[in-house]
Amino acid sequence: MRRALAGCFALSVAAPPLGVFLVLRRMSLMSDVLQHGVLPGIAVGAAVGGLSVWAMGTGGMLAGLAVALLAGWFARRTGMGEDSQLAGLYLVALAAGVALISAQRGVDLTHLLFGSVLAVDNTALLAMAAAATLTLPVLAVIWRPMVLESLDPGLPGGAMSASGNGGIWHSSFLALVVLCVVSGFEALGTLMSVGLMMLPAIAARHWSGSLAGQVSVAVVLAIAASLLGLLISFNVEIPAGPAIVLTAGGFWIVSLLAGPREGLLRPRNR
Amino acid sequence: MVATSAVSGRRNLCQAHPGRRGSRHGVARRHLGFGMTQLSPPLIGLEQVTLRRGGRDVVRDLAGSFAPGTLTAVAGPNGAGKSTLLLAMCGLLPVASGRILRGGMDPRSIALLPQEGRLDRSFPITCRDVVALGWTARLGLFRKIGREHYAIADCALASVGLDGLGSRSIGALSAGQFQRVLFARTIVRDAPVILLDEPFSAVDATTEADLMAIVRLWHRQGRTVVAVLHDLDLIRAEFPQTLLLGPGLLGSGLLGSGLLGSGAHVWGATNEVLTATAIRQARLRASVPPRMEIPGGSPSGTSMRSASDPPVEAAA
Repeated sequence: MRRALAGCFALSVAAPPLGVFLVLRRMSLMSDVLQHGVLPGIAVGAAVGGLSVWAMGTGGMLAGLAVALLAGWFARRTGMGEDSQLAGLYLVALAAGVALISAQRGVDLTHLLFGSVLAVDNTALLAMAAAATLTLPVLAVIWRPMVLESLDPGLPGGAMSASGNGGIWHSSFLALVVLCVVSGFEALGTLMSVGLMMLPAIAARHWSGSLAGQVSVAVVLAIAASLLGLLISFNVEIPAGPAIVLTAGGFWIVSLLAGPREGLLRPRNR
Repeated sequence: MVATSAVSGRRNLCQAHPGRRGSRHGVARRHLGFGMTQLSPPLIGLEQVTLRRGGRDVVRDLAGSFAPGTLTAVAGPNGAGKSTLLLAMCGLLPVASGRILRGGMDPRSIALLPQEGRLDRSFPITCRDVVALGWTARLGLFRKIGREHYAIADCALASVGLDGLGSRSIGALSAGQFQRVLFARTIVRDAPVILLDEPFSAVDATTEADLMAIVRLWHRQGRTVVAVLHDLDLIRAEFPQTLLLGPGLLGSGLLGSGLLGSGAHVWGATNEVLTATAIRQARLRASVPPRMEIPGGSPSGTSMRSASDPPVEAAA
């Protein structure tokens, strides 16, 4: 339980900033695509390396990166929108993953999909902490290029770099997202490991109008949701994943209704 | 027509450079003098440049050069490849054939002010930060943007008439104010070559006049300025050189060849390029359906005709 808490805290610090960028760049559903797309990788990893976190994590990373980058490549080559390619790829990946996992004996599908507090052993905790430790400095480094690219999506670096350098930042960012998604799957399960990434970020928009402010609020909300969610999961005997995500969702509903910015119940004073 | 604005709060930093006080142009001249160490733009030459966008040629066999320090307008009907040309000139779009010569200058030294609709104005960032991010071009992506850089960004904001609005989010600005912010960012970039993509398309007359003053200042400082514009009256009044792009392969079977030279581009002094015949030919070669030709005037006013144009004839 304590290990799960520590792991979720690590995730709560690393994932929400990524979520804020995803929301600002209107890529919120990308997180959903990725969390389902990693499933076949996890299944293959489990088949090859047993239930070790490293085997499944590596498989998941590879699958997630493949989905993200392949979709972009398909989109550029065929001229179709990236969203349709992502949808196609992740549905195939999800179905393949479920099929692969079901075909293996000895792997509890429920645990993989929904996560389990008791499954967070020291290795898993180490993995989550390592992911967070990797994400934060890399995010700090790519922060300014990400801002420039979000501001002007057509011109990478604001007309600074000649043709194509912007792709590096975008790919690094996606790699970080996959890393956080995969690192959370032990505790939260693959169905909901992006819950801590997205819901606090979406809620944060109702509290702050600046980038730094939104990131700060999102991290605070994620930590609170982890704490409260794990407590609920422990006492009410539902899996950790849904408990934490429901708590985060509750925070979001409250923010949506009563938040100072763009709230539903605020008087419209434009 | 051009209002003056007082410089507030940053007086001690702006006075680091001597100059007249009081008017906004005094401020502009003062802080625009910073860092202009090698402001000698090279000649930018285009050798039989062909550009492709979306799988088809939009600019074909364009040849010519932008001499250092010239002020050139790029005109032409929609789809003629004007924005594409600017992207190619600053190295963001590869040429399909031909060469763009920049005299050894790094393409990143060319500042591009993109079209108004391209930028995401819902991003939560203040005006001051957008302008200060212009320093990234000179400092690189990872060096710290310090207080002195922010001070110059504030000066730039003051010179475009947005003094005191630095902390406002860009989502709260009007179109004219946002265009001023982009001009301030271009000022901070201090580039020897400046490309403007339809800078006045969404702004009112006052903003246009204020920003044209900045363009004239850049011209006086010896920078090469190229601007894509639709307003022919403005081009005739302010821009000594014009490049009139024909519509490329659109409607290429309509008229005989050789009327405007190869590729239907005309490049030279404005009063020689923007003749009534050339404008009419460019518009006709864009295959406007005959029923839209209204003899005696177009609905949009003087955007493509001058008062001395003879009445439009029907397409041959």
